[in-house]
Amino acid sequence: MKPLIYKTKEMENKLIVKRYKIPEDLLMDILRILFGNNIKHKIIGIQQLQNSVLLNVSFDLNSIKNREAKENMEGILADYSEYMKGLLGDTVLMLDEEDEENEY
Amino acid sequence: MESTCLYCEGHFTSIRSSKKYCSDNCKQMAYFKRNGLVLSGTTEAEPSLVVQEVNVKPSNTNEVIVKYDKEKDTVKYGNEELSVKYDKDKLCEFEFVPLSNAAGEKEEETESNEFKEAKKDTRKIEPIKSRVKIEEEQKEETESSFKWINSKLISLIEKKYAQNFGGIKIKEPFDYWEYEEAKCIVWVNTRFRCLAESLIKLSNYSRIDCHTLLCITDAFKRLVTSATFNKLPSDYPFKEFIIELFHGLNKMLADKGHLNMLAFKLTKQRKTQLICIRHQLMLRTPEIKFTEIDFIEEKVHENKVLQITYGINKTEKRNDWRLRYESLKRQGLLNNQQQNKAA
Repeated sequence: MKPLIYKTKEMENKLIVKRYKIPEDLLMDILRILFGNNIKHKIIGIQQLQNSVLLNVSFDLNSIKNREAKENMEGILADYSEYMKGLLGDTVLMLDEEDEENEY
Repeated sequence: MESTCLYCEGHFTSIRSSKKYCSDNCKQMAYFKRNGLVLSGTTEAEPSLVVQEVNVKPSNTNEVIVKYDKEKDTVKYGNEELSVKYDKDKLCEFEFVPLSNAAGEKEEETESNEFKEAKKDTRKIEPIKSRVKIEEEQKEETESSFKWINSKLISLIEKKYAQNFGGIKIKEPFDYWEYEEAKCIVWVNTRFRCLAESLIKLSNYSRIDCHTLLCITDAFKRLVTSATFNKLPSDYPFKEFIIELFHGLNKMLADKGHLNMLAFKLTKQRKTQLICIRHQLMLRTPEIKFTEIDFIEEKVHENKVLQITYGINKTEKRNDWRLRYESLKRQGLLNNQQQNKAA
């Protein structure tokens, strides 16, 4: 007999949504992570001037794959920010949920 | 009332008109037949309900009494009492095992599978918690290992760093080269940093206007043709790369100069090289904005000599933008609109 599958309240709380600004240089790498691990995401806008895409990504922190995918994505974005320090202007690649970008 | 037995088809008398079987034996056998059980000396069951294995056969007799005890899960078959073993998921597959053997097997199972028993015990104590834990464990096991993805661009930059592109020469030019040479290198580095940053920024835009491309090409030309650049030591690591960039920009200007807006893209190799160089220059070289860049070379020594010998003050500095404008005009690189704009 299969054990029951249900989510406790604690588990439900570990679902988070994060917003990222992905520059063109990293877009393919980030999409490979998202599609390769079946991570829910939504393109919410594009910034034509800066050639970047605004993404909302839902992570289930109960899943190891999701956790590692988040680390992988943020690692790539952090490395890129480090090398491009001062060149991206005021562009922040990792945004909080509440942050809003006016220029889409 | 006389009627016919549905199992053995024998005639029998009964008080109740609805009685189907002549005896309990026939009734039980009919029940087994319906459920696909095959016993020796009986007719075959339906093909879909064939029993795979019957371990114990009854003593040779045609008349067998079979009684099924629901509570104990046992069957009395003739003189022997058998336990019924079956797979819960596959209800049709039954197996008869003598009670003594069954008990023995059970003991062996308990001894050999202590871990399973322990699991069962915990399930009895905390069924929900353990199930959640087991579910989580199974989930983690079933999840295939995560494949870490490296960004191609970042890998290339790191590769360039590993090759020590530029290296200590650029970080500490005064330690590595002579004073005059080091001064030239610092002058070139300051301008090259600015131009490299501009190129990286432009490559991040989807489109740039032709005038921007013209300005940056001109800036590269002024850098390459400057006397300081020509004085650079032969082992300066970026000399060839700067010339290569200048030729590339010139070619692009010739090909796409007629367009108002154009896509400006750098190859991954070139972009990584630029990012790497710029990152190295960031630490030691001062930052200048592209709008503030000038290519006036230091001629302090010569000017001083002139001042002393002729008493002429030739240190008047003309605005650099005017110099650049005039040079562009001489080359015929400015169209009417741009001339008006610059004027």
